[in-house]
Amino acid sequence: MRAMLRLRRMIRKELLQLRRDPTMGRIIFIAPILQLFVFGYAVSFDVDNLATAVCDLDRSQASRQVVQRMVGSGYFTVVAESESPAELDRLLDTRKARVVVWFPPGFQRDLLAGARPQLQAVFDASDSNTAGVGSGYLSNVVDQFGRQYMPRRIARLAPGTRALASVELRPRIWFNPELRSVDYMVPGVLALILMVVTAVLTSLAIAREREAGTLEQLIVTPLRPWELIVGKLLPFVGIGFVDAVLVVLLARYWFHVPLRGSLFLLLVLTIPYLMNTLGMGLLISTVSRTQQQALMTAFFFLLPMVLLSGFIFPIANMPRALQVITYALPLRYFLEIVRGIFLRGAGPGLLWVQALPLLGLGTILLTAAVWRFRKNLE
Amino acid sequence: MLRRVSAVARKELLQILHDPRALVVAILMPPLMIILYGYGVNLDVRNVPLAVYDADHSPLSRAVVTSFEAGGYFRVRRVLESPAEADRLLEEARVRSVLWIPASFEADLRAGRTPTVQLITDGSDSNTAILTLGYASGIVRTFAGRYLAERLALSSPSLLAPIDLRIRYWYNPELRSTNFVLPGLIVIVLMMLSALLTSVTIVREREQGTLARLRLSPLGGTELVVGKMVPYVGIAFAAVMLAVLVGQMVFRVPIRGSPALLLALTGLFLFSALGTGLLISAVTRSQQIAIFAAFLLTFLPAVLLTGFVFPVERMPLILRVISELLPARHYMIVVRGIYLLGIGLDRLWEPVLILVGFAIIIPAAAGLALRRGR
Repeated sequence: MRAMLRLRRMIRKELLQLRRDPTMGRIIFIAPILQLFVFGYAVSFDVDNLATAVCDLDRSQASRQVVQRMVGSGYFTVVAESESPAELDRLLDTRKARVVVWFPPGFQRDLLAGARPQLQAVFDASDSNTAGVGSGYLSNVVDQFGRQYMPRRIARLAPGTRALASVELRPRIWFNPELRSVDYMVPGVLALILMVVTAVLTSLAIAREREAGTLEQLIVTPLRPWELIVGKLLPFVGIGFVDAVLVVLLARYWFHVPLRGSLFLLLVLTIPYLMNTLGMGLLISTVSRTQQQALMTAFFFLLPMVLLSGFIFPIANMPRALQVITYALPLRYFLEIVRGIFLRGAGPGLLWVQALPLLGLGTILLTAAVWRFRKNLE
Repeated sequence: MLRRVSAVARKELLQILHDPRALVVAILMPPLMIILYGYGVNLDVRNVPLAVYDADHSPLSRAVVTSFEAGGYFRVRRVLESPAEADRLLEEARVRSVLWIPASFEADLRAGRTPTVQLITDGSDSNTAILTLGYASGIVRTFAGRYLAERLALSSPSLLAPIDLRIRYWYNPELRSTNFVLPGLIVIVLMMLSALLTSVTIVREREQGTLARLRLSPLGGTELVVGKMVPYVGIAFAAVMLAVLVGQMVFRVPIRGSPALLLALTGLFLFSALGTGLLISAVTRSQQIAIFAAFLLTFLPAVLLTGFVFPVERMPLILRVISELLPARHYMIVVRGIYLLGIGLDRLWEPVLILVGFAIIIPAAAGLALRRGR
């Protein structure tokens, strides 16, 4: 009973401290919203309205039709027309245009004669992703446009051949049929925010007490070490859950991300994840004497973790050695859980594969952290 | 004035040397991050796990499967006996795509009826899905071209296309994503390092009460800011040189433009980057908040809003406006311009002028905030 009382007092002290620091309070709730909006809107690889310069030396109906189809696809926007090579060069160099399409004189004449005119496109490939996706779209546009001239081409190549068939590819997209990157990113931000709020803030809160010398004062009180630890961590668990619900609500009703699975399951599986992040925060605090050190250490470990977790960059694209490392990252498993529940509607039957390692890692981290923290206290 | 600045600088340097761990972290972090991020930030999609359901079992349908395997873009993980398995595999995320070839594929193709093959793709990761669909349509197009060319006894399948589309990739002909990412990483690392280094310097003095003493001294705000900045310029320069060297050795990204110009403009950028940290430090009340603000105001925007990998042009207007207000955005243009485009001042004067503006305004604002002693 006494233990419970001491624990309650400790938690009340922590909450008071958080409330006294109005800026900190704002960070706890504004930072998640800010991150959600920035990540939701900024992290997108979608290629549309690619700035296009047209150099049309043919000025024919055919060349205009190709440009119209490019614009009509939504992937290209004509920003300049010019016939001067120097000007086109400048447009690419100064990033005013990302692609130049060039129609030679006689484009239409050759097309009608089945003589296979050239159509050149120069992409600014310094951004390799955009250039790769953009050139794919251009190939599709040109391919579709060219199809109507296929009989003429065949007639020229092999007179007397009857019409030939092609092969069509029909894509069907599951889980995210409109291919919105928001649907993929926003659930991921939940994992990120929970980590920042719990791991970083815990390590800071403890480092601050150490810096101010109040940690020693707490030690000489009748408070037992485990009460101290639980009292320190519990408020952050609460904050974590409040943030999680806030993010889910925003994701659902502002970003219109479908939540296909169970919210309850998501919150339940948040517990093993919080074991990990709190363990990390506690561990970081044991190796730092000042708040600055704690923050530097936190960023030093957390940033690579975010990068390697598959949050933005798919793990499948990484070299083998890095892929192996990702199995030790709690964030990796929680990301798959969050995205699985949101987008695939995954249930426990599919998610235990992620939940088990998450729980295992969490137990190890938290035990190690508590052990080190207690040793530090003695 | 110069003497006073150098006195502040000397004092700051002493303070830095007092905490050697932070210094080591500051110097070692950039090259480590460059290596890790250089490998980890990869947008090239390869080896997409694929399941195949071939209902036709014909030589031509097998040829389609072979061409999916050939380019390195797909890897066949499962060959399905029934279409029902496809759902389960996709739901369990064991494969990302399923290729479905209908039963009458070869018969249709030979009879001149265009058959349809289906590609069911997991769209949850939209970027990977878009790239996957692009690869798949390219593969199918090539396959159809090859088949037709064979029927017509042409020497090359590309001869058949009514339009000879020639795509050239400037500045990065192999479309190597590392060439795109590495120069950007230098910007990110530098921005983050500068802000983390300087964001606590003033607020720490305030917390310890030594700021009031400094303010009583004859030092002006500008002198204080410049003096505090000087040692960090040295550290940041050392870190960035190390990072560039490591990056070059590991990833071999060509610098097409002038390295001297790159260094000079890096120096210019450092004034805005370090100044931002000092400004944050001057207007915040505790170290904790200062570092948090530095993180929220520098690192996240640097990664997301500078065009590092996410194209700024296609963001909502408000984010584009914020992006223009970030020195790192303009430095990014400069770094990529020199690294990849190989252009000089004649084509970079716009971002360079903006950087000059920031290099004056931001430290000046920090000095002002300090003198006003908020």
